Amino acid sequence: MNSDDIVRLATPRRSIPGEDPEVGRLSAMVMALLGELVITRERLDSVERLLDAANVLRQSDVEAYDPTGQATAEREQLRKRQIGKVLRPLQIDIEKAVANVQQKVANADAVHEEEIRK
Amino acid sequence: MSHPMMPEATHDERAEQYFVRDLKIWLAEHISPLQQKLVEATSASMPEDEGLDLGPLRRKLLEQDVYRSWISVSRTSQEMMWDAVGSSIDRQLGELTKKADIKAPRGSVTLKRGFETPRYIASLDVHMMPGGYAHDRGEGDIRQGALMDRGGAIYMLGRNGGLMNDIRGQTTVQHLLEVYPDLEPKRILELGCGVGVSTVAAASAFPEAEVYGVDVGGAVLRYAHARAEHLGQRVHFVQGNAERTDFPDESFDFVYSCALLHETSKAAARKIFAECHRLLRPGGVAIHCEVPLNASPGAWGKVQGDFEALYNNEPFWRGVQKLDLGGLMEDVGFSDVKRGYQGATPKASRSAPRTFSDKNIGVFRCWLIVSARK
Repeated sequence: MNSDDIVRLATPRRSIPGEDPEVGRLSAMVMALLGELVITRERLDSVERLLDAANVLRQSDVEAYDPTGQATAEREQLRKRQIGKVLRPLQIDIEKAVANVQQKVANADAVHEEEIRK
Repeated sequence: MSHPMMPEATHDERAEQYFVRDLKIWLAEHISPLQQKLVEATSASMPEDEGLDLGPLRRKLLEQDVYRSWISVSRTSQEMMWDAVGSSIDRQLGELTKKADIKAPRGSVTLKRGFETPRYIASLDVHMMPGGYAHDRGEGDIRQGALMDRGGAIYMLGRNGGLMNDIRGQTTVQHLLEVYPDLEPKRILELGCGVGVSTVAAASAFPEAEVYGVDVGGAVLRYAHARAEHLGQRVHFVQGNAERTDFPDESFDFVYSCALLHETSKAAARKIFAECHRLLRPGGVAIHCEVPLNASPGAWGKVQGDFEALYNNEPFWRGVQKLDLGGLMEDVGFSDVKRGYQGATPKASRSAPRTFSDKNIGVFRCWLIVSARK
């Protein structure tokens, strides 16, 4: 039992007749982006309300904040996670396309090998 | 109320899961009614003999980009839900697995070597849940159960008993208490128990009874067992096929299912009814609880059924609504079959007001029930 055998995509996933796959992908990306935005705004809202209730922070303090060192590295990680999330539909389809091409190459190589042996 | 096995969510994970839930509600409230108008107008614009014929209607609808977008966005919202829940579970999978290792269990889980999952479950991931009901990564794996439990609670949009997700089970037990008050079941079986949300409901209503749950997936059953143990309930979970279990004839007083039938097939539903009859001792009671929807004959009903079948991997969603479930029960030997709607109840009780009637007051407010005594 390891993380490789976790199933992450449901099957079958039928194509929608007449749908341009690029548009379908883009639509999924926009929805994921909306999700990320909602999460972020909610967290920000939690923080602002808590700080306000504790009387510790004014908005101008946030404007004046300039991150350094560890904070910068952590923010980079956060950004990478967000980008990965939004571009996931593209990543999935490229992975599939790569596997297809690799399979075709392997098939072609196999045919070639056979020809040589003849 | 929740329970100790339920995967927890961080602040952001909770925000993400509630976002997906609200996205689905928004689509249902703002887009689906428009889509219904589009479908009905399209149907009306077609020659009379074609407007209600799913093949030509589907082709006509697919020519319209907004229809394609509706399918796409609806399915994406479902995929996002499983992705959100799945990634949250993976963060805590180690802890959950440890929590599921029960040192002194009261109940049990029994898996069957070489078990063959029925084709209608094995061939597609129902509800687009990656891995479906049957995926099992081997000994100790509970991930699929955790996914189903947390995802199911979000999927029901908090209208089936929150994170306990047990109103359906409580309602089924309530039907037993209300319509068959004399029955004191000593042995109880739920077919298609999933993570045991409704099995635990029966176990807590009849603490002296020996309670069994049958389902197909090893990972789901291990999770169900751990969940029941943490809730202090003694339940025996057994891997099996509801069409034909390994239990002896006449070995139960009460056999039931909750929203199992629409995940099967017409032939399987018939066999499940027959199996219930075989398993019950004379005088025992069978109850089947389903989603209270009647297959509407109009174009929109057909299109919704088509969406569920093709893009949510629920091929029997509409089929079960068209079945005469009461008639099927009679066919396998039950008589005096009751068919109606039981008001949704958060906690089954002998003193609760009677709510079983022939009036459908809507999804989540009541559940469709067919029941009979052997």
